Amino acid sequence: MTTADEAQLAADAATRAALAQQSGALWGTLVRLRAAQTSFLPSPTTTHWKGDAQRAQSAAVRGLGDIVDSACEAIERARTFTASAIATLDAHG
Amino acid sequence: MADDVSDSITISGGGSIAVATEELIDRTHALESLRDEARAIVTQLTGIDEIVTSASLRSANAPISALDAENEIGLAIGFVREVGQKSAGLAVAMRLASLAYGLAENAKERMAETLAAQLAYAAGLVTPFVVLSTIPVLPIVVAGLVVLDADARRSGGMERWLAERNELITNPVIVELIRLSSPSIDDFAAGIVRMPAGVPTAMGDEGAGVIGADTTAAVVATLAGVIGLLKETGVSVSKTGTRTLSNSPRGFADRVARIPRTDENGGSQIRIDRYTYADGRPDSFDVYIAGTADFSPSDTTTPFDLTSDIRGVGDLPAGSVESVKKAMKEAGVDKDSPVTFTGHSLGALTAHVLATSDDYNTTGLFEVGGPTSKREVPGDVTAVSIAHTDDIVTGLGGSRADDGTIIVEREVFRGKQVPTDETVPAHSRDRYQDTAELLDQSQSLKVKEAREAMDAAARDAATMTTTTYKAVRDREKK
Repeated sequence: MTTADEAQLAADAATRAALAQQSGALWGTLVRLRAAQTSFLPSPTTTHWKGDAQRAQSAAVRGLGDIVDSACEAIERARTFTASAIATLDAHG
Repeated sequence: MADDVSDSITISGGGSIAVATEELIDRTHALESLRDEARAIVTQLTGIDEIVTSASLRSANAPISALDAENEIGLAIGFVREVGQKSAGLAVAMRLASLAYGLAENAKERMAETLAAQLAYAAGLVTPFVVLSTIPVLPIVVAGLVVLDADARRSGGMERWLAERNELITNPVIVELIRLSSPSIDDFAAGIVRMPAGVPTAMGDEGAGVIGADTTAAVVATLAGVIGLLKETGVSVSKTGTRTLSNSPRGFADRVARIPRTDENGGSQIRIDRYTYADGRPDSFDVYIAGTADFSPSDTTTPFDLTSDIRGVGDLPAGSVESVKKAMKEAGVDKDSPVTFTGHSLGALTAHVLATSDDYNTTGLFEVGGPTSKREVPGDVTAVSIAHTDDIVTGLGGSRADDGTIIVEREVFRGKQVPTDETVPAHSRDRYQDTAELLDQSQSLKVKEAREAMDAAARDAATMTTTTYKAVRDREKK
C-alpha cells in the first residue's frame, strides 16, 4: 500500500467517524425539537379561546407546527443521507 | 378542588393596564420558551454542520449523499430559525393583545359607568318610585332593612331570601350591573331632586369622585339609623387564644386558610401572627380578618355584621375596623411595625380601610371577595385582590380606584349549575380558597413577585406566635 493509499484510508476513516458523530447529533437534535413542539406548541383544540382570538391563535400555532415539521423532516433526510454516505464509505473500505 | 367549578383566572392591575387570562399568560410563556429553545437548536445544528466540512468530504472522496446531508442540515437550520423568529413575534403580539384588551376594558368600563349614571339620573327625574325597584342593589338593601321583619331577620331570613335567588345573584351580568349602578344611585337621587343634568356625573365616580358608591352607602346607613337600624356602637375585644406557630404562610391559599372561621372557632374574628427576629429588627405582623358573621341590620352582638358592611362601604367608622384596631394594639402592633393584612368579605373591606389609613406601616394587602373601596392603596404596598365575577358582594362599591393592586378574577359557576342550598355560593370562602390555589400556580411574574414579597417577612423569623381575638358590640354604651 502506498503512502497516498494510506493517507486516503485515514481521510476516509476520519470522514466516516465525523459522519457517525453527525448522525448521532442529528438524532439528539430531532428528539429535542419534537420535545419542544410537544411542550410549547399546544394543540389548537385544547384552547378555551373563542371567536377571532381562537382562530388567530389556532392559525398561528398550526403555522409554527408546520415549520417545526419541515425542520424535523429536513433533519430526518439529513440522517438518511448521512447513513447512506457511511454505508458507501464502508463498502469502499 | 371542587370539580364543578371553572378553573380559569384573569389577572390585571399591578401597575399595568394589561388584562390577561391565565391561559394567555401560559401560551405567551410557552411561545417564549419555544423561541429560546429554537435559538438553542439553531446553535446546536450549526455545530453539527461544522462536524463534517466540504473540504473533508472532498478529501475523502465521500459519496454525494454526504453533501445532500449537508444541504438538508442547512435547510433545517433555516426552518428552526424561522420557528424562533415567528414564536418571538407571536409572543410579542400576545402581550400586545393583552395590553389592548386592558385598554378596551378600561374604556368600556368608563363609558358604561357614565351611561349607567345618566340612565339613573333620567330614571330618578321621571319615575322615581317605579324605577326604584329596577336598580339591582336596592332590592337587597330594602329586603334586609324593610321587607324582612325583625323575627325573620333574627332567624336568618336574609340568608334564605338570598339563597332563593342564587341563580339571579350568581350571575356576572347582574354583578356587573350592581357594580355599575352602585355609584349611580347618587345620580338617581339627583334626578329625584331635579339637580341640573351633568352635575351628578361631574361630581360622581365618573367625574371628580366627590360622590359615588361610598356616599350612597353612607346615605343608606344614615337613613337606616333613623328607623333604628345599622346603628354603630362601641366594641370590646378579648384574646381567645395564643400559641407558637411552626409554619409561616406559604402562598395565597395558605393565607386564605389562616383567616378565622367564626362558625368553627367560637366567634373569634381576628387572628394576628407575630414574627420576631434574632437581628433586632422590629417585629412584623400578619393580620387575618374574618367576614360577616351576622347579616341582621340590628341587635347584633358581633361587630362583623351588616352595619359594618354598609358603613364600611360608606367609608364611615365601622365596628369591624375599630375591633381590629383594638386587637392590633393589644397584640403590640405600633406605627412602625410592618403589617400585611388579609381578609375575606367584610374582612377584606376592613383590611383595605386599615391598610390605606396612615395608622400603620402596611407592607401587604390581600383582599378576598371584598366589596370595592374607593380608598387608593399606597404605591409601596404589595396588594392583591381576588374577586369572583359572579360574586354579588364584589360588585358592591362600584369600580376600583387604584391601579397598583393586582386584580385576580374568576367566574366560579361558568356553565355550571348554581347550588340552591347555600347563600351567595360564589362568595363562599372555600371557593375563594380554590381560586387562591389557582393563583399560587400562576406563572404571572407580577403574581409570583407579590407572593414572594408577602411571604418574605416571616421566612427568617426566629419565633412565630399566633393570637386570636373576639370582638363584641357594647350595646349598652350607646
